[in-house]
Amino acid sequence: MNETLQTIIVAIIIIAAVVWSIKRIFFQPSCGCDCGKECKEDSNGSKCEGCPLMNQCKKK
Amino acid sequence: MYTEDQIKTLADIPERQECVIVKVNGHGGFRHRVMEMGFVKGERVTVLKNAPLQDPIEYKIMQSHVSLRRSEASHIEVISVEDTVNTSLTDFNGTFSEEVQNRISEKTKTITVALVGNPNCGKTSFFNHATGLREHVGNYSGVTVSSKVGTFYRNGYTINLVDLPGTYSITEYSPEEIYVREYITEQHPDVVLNIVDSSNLERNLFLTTQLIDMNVRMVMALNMYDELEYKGLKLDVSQLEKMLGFPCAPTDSKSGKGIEHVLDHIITVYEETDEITKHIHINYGPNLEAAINAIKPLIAEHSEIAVDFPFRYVAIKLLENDSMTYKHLAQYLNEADIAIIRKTVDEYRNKIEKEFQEDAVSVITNSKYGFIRGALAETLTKETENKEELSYAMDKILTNKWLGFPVLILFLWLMFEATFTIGAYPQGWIESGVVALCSFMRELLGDGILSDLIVDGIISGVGGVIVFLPNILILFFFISLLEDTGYMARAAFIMDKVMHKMGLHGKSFIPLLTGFGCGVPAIMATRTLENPKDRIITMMSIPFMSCSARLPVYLLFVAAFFENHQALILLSVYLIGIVFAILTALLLKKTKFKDDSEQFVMELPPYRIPSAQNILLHMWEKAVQYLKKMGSVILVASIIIWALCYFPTHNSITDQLDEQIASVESNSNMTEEQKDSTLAELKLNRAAAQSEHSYIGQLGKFIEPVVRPLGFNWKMGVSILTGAAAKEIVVSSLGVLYHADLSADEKSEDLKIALQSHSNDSDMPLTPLVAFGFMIFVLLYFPCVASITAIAKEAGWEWAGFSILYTTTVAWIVTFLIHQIGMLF
Repeated sequence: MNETLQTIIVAIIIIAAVVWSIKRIFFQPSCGCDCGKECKEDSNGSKCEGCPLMNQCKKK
Repeated sequence: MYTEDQIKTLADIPERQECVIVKVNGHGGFRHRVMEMGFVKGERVTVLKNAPLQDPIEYKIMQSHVSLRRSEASHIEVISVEDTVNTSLTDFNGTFSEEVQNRISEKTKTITVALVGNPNCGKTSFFNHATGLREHVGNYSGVTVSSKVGTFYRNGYTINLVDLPGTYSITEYSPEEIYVREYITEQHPDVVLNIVDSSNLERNLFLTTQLIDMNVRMVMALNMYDELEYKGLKLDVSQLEKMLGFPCAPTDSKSGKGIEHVLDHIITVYEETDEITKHIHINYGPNLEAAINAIKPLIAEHSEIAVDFPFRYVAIKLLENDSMTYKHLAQYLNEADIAIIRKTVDEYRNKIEKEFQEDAVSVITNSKYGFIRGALAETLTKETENKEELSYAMDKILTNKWLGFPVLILFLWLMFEATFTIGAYPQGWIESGVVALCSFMRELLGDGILSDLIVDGIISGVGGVIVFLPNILILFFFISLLEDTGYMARAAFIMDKVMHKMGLHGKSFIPLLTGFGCGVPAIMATRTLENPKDRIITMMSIPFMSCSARLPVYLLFVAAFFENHQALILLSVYLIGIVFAILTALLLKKTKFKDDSEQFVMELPPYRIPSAQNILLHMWEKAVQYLKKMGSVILVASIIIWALCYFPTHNSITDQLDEQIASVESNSNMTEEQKDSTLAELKLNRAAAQSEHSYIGQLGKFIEPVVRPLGFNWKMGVSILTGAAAKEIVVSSLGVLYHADLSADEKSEDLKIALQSHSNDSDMPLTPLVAFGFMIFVLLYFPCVASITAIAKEAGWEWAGFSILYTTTVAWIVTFLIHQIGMLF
């Protein structure tokens, strides 16, 4: 594989990793009742899986 | 599927619209009253008009006109057909159209069942069997703090099973009790399934008596029935059903025996076709009954209260001086009315307390136990000779005041020893796999930046952590075994005495123990502590309980530097963590949180043969969780750390060394042997220079003055920083950083060997002392971001900030002392 192509692939991977990290730190929605459960989207909207109060998620 | 958004109540239907009743919620007394008025399932209702103030509302039902308050109408679920074009409720001969019939059927055949019971009674096992879900079952309170919902189908019914937190009663003393009580009174489940531990009926039935007072539709699962029989007891189940007024069925939730029978009872109770269900009153004796009968009319004057609670239940709670009940009354009554009720209640309470010489709550409790004892006297008999239970015999040794502690230490040591000796085999296989994968990828991709990223970054980073999966699984196997057999509760009992002396609440041991798995659920488990100050003390201590994420760090350094005493060193690390947890609690108790003490009762469940299915399921969940983390956080962290280590690729020193390398390669005056040896050294120096001047090297050099007194070099310093995201990343970082500076000829993917190769460095050698210090630092310094966030949510950011500062300071000081004192020998 030529060097330029390798460099482009590596750059894409690094940028994707950085973007994922930023999204996880700053934009990961957490459950509105603060139970610590991860907020998941489903067909009825955003719900906290396993949340004791079954609240809608509060996005950060 | 009929979605939650489409559920309407009778109160939501506008004037002059028709609808069909699908469900009548609320407690037994309320439901029977409105059903007697004609509001039954399947019946058509027309909303005629609202009163001028929108309350009450006039309806036409069964050819008659009836008024209901809006609050009462809001407990009747209906189907409205307003959004169905060109459809009327009936199409031929007054029968419902097929579409409407289907919708009625769908809604009336959906049953919400709340699982209520003491901790340790098998609710979650029952839940797992019935729904097919896999939830962790713990043998101590605090495992299920929140509720879970599972749905399954049976005989044409959709059953939504809600597993509520385990609680011994439903008063207002702990978060679980409040949650369960509010769920029953506000969500109005169709049926309450009370799961009891049959081997301990007297204590378990106390909660049942409270549910009876609430007049909810009930079924009872007499769980762990085999243990009742094992004790040589016989229970007349049909007689018990008649006395309690609802169906009961023996079950064994571990094997699933009897669960089908319970589910059938749930359906018949819901449809009100069973012959056993009847509302009974627990007789509280003439004095209390007189008080209840005097208070009831005062509440009955305000019929809107009856929508949520039976009058009798409200009267009993008022006699107990229940503040939540007064708050509820305040929603319907004005202050003057409440004052009148309070005056009467107080008069009767004082009278009772004077007569019985104890508070009203105790009198009511004693009456409940009297009812329970009476019921059991008639239904429970001993069939076989009295024999000493195995549990008591075992407890004589395992919780003995002299033997208990050493036995606990022995079990923990055995656990760690097995983690190493058994785990070594699969660990070796995974290591070989990682090495083979590295070679394969190098060959496939050749030399270049992509190959460096994949091999030196991703595989070294992730591979460095994944090799510890077998050890972690073995550790969790033993933890599950100790939990499921009942020994973990004994461990809590043994530690309780110690913890009381150290200022910790006995119940704190459970969250602390959970911290050995992960800090986040451990911090959340502190919700089981009633006193907020006990919660904060426990939360500040939890970070010192070494979580499983730190285990790869210990395993790596112990294997590299302490080959002959692996289990002992690992045990010492865990014990040091426990010691600091205790010291932290003591410090806080003596300074910030003086004077607070609280009594509690800790339950000792009987010993049980653990369920292999539960243990294996738990191990599987842990493995999946670990692998998910590898594929997400660890993978991303490895890529980022590799990039910070790789760039910039050139600097003045590497440029000089590149020139020297080129010069040696083209030097025809040197022999091949001389060339190889010189080139190897030059390349090693180049790799080291590139690493030191990379972005991460510069960061490491910046913080090196802080970690140098501890004996750590800049690479170890950087690994400590990266461990803030997740503790496993400490190992991935070391994997990336130490892998980079190995020469091409001795390129080994074994991080252990890489670390050992630095034990004789002239500057900052990596010796066993430094390795031990590093492990202690990782043990004690601030927990991962997830744990800090959990502390912030439970106790506020001030306490989270204090935790970061306090743990890091303790880690630095202790490691400094270890290193400096160790250097003297």
